[in-house]
Amino acid sequence: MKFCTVKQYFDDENNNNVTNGIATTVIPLPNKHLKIKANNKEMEQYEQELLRNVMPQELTKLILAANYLNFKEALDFFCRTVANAIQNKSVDYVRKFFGLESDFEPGEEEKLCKEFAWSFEGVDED
Amino acid sequence: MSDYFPDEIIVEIFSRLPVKSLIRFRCVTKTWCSLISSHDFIKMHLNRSLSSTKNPPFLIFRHYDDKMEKEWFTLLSSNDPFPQNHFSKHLDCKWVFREQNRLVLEKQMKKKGFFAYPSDFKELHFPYRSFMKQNLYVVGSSNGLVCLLNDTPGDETDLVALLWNPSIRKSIFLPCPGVKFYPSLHPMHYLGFGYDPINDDYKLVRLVYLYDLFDQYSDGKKYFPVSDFQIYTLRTGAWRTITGHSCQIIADQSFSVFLNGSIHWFGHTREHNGDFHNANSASRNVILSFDIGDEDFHEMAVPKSLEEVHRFNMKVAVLDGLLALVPYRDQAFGGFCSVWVMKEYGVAETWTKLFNINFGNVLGFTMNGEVLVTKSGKLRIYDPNSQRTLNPHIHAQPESFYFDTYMESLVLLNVEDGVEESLIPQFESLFYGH
Repeated sequence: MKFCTVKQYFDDENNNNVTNGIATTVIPLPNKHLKIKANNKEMEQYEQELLRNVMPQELTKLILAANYLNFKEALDFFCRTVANAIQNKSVDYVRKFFGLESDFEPGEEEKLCKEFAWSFEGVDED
Repeated sequence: MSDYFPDEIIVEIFSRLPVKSLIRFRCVTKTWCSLISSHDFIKMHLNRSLSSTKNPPFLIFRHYDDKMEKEWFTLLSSNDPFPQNHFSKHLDCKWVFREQNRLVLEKQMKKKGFFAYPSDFKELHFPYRSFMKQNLYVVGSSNGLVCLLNDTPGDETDLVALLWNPSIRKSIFLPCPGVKFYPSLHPMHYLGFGYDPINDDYKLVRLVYLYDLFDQYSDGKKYFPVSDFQIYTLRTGAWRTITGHSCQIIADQSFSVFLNGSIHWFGHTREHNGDFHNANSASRNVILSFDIGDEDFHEMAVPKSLEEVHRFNMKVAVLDGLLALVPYRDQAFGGFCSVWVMKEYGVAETWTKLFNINFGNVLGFTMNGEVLVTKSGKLRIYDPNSQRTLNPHIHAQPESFYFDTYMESLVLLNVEDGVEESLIPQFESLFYGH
């Protein structure tokens, strides 16, 4: 099943998002998973390594590739990696990471932040 | 949403984030704010939490600390709520040269109590401390929501309840049921709280028992159940009365557990043998269960050997996802009890006695098989396998204890609380002053 989709993906010339680099990262994942499934610590290390070597934009492409390939385990892995990376970060960091800008009315954002001030405690420095 | 990520991916990432992060990220953009607060996302996040871990990660513990004179709501690890090394973590080892000094210091710390040393627990911020101080009763908790009752003796005719999600620090007051009873009938409310997965709704059910004025000649106070009962649902934000239900089972106490979609109370049947005064001796012990989806009552059998036993104080509980029954006999030095579980839900023949405890009564169970026991007003942790008992050093009245499993969720985030609060203007001054 997975091989068919991959072949189709490469054959589809309209798809410009896949580069060889991504193909070499996403596709070997199931093997890597099987090998280190039992060992959570190794997975954590692999995750850390992945985060260090891959820029957010690259991670985006990885996720999109995994999503297109309907590759559930890889998608789960990448989403979890992103979630772990951003969970303790500030609002500004997250905006930069996802390439977003605040669209709140003036004062609206402040009001929201004040109401839930407790959720800003202990957040990582940018 | 984002130039880089399609919406489905954003949602996949969000559903893996902890509650505190999600609350903060509502401030990123307006779209994110509506998404995180949307009913569908709240449900998705909850479902992911429910399916990802086998056991709930926390125990929620409530107690009134009489040394600190403080009402506490805390989250503890569900595996090891009161770790053995809790106090030694706070010993400044530089100054402790000899084992003797260390022991003396630890003894002093234990006198202050477990909660005097900030580690191994997370304090929850209960919003209405002064309002609820005197007569706080926890009905139950489900999917991160805790249902509390203000059990005011002053006004026995109505009830004031609160739904609280400590992980998002949000609470709403429920409107009063509006069904009142004459004070001379000494109404007693028995409540149960749970989640209805079919209708995706949270419900609070209220049974009322009235003092039987015509049975003043029997030994104990006789109560009869009112044939109507009230049910509150979060989706409607209102109470409904269900009439004409004739329940032949009397719940013995308000304490209930929610399991497998039903609320369970321990009770007994009303056997009418023509002789009204001897009704008690002919009645059987049973478990009254209320199916929260069907909104219907059912009877469940207790172990055969406990059916006719009336001298024990019996309580329902949940152990490892199974319905449990704890018959307890009070005595001068702690009393004794036993723990039974129904191995196959609904199959009476599968009731099995697991173990006895000969020094106290069961309060609850941890996720790794230990039992929280109250012994002469003190809390102990008992391991039925090793038969070891440990003292967690909690200084509180056992009547104030409440234990349940807990997991964080976003439930209540999208519920507007303004309306509910304004329905009880007479309580405003009480809780705004805390």
